[in-house]
Amino acid sequence: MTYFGDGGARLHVAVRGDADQLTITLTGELDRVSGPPLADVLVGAMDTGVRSVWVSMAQVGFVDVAGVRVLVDAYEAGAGRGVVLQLRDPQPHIVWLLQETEAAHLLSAQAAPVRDLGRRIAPHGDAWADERDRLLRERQQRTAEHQRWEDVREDLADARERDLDRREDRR
Amino acid sequence: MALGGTEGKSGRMAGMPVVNGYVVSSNPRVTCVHEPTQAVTQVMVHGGWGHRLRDEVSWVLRACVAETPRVLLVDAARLDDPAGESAATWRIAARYAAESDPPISVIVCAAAGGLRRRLATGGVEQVPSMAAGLAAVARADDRAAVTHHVSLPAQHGVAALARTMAADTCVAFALPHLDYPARLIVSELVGNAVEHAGTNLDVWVSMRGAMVHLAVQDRSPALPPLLDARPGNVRAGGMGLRIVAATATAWGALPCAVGKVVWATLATRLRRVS
Repeated sequence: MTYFGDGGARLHVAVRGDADQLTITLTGELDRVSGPPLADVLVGAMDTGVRSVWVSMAQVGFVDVAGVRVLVDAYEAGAGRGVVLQLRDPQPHIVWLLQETEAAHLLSAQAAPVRDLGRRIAPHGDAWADERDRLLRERQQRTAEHQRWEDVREDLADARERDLDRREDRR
Repeated sequence: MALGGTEGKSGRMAGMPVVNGYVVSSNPRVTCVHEPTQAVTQVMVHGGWGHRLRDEVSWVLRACVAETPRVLLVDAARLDDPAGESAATWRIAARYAAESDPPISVIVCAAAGGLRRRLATGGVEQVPSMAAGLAAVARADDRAAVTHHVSLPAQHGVAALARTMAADTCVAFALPHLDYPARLIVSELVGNAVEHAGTNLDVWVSMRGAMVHLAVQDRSPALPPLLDARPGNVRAGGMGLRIVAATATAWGALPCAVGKVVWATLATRLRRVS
């Protein structure tokens, strides 16, 4: 099945498997246009009596927040039916998005966490520590900006004082 | 004056604010109008100069500089400052903006009396009126800024078109590492505009110094909410903006003559991980 979004977004969905386990291979982009039709496929797949659904993500190049929402909804719908949904082999930037949206539990256990976009960290990395590091870095950046403003202020005040001194000397 | 960087009260990282957001809303003392096509922001200051106004103005100027406009026009016509006590603030702002990357010009328009005299020395460009300021902006070279622009209707599918434009721009500037961040930011900003404003919208992707600048303008004046604590659930409202904040170097919102612009920047150099 291929779903064409009205803005050109495209997601191809291929389903294969047996009575016990289904693999749903996605190709393309998962967003708020292609998400709803996929949700129907995922929930339909869970009603066939399988015990697990693997969603193969390797060929998905783009996922947005609405796309993550579809996957989380399907995961929870599965949990209610005793079906395990697992995302297999997503690209690193999509792993990053899943972590940021607190959806990392949809990943299979072997997936390595991704710290920054395009950056991979050691598998023992602690997501909380990463989050703290990132926020600290941002706070440092903001503090540095404030400091730059204050430095300019001080420079100008110094210059003004020197000017006044020079004028006093001349008198 | 509502500004980004409010402290989180609860959530998984309690006490850790989201600090790269610059949402500027206008109030009776400081009014902001951004013009995305020319990349110009006007800041109008009203009333008597004092500590409170000074603090507000310095915040707004810093937030405006973070957006990396080409020119920042300060309208002092309604500023009551006969002794010129605000001169120091405009001097600091001018130098702060000039030393930013990319450098930004600050022009003070329609300063009167003591303020005009005190600004005559000290490196702040002055023009007699806002009209003269706008004329100066129109004359100024565009610094060869490369901008891609597209106008889109309020349909969910248009996010795909907008993010393809963002991706093409990153590829054209040999910035493949910004491809996904740029697509994600544009997609979420366009999605928000379609969902919350529901008006026609304009998308700009441009190179500004060492920044890729992404902006989405819609016709609704309602500004996006400030990010407080981070919720632990993808269904919570505002997750799109939270992801924008987590992805961008800086982001924010500015009022426009019609509606508002929500912007985000991405530093072209990889951020240093300390």
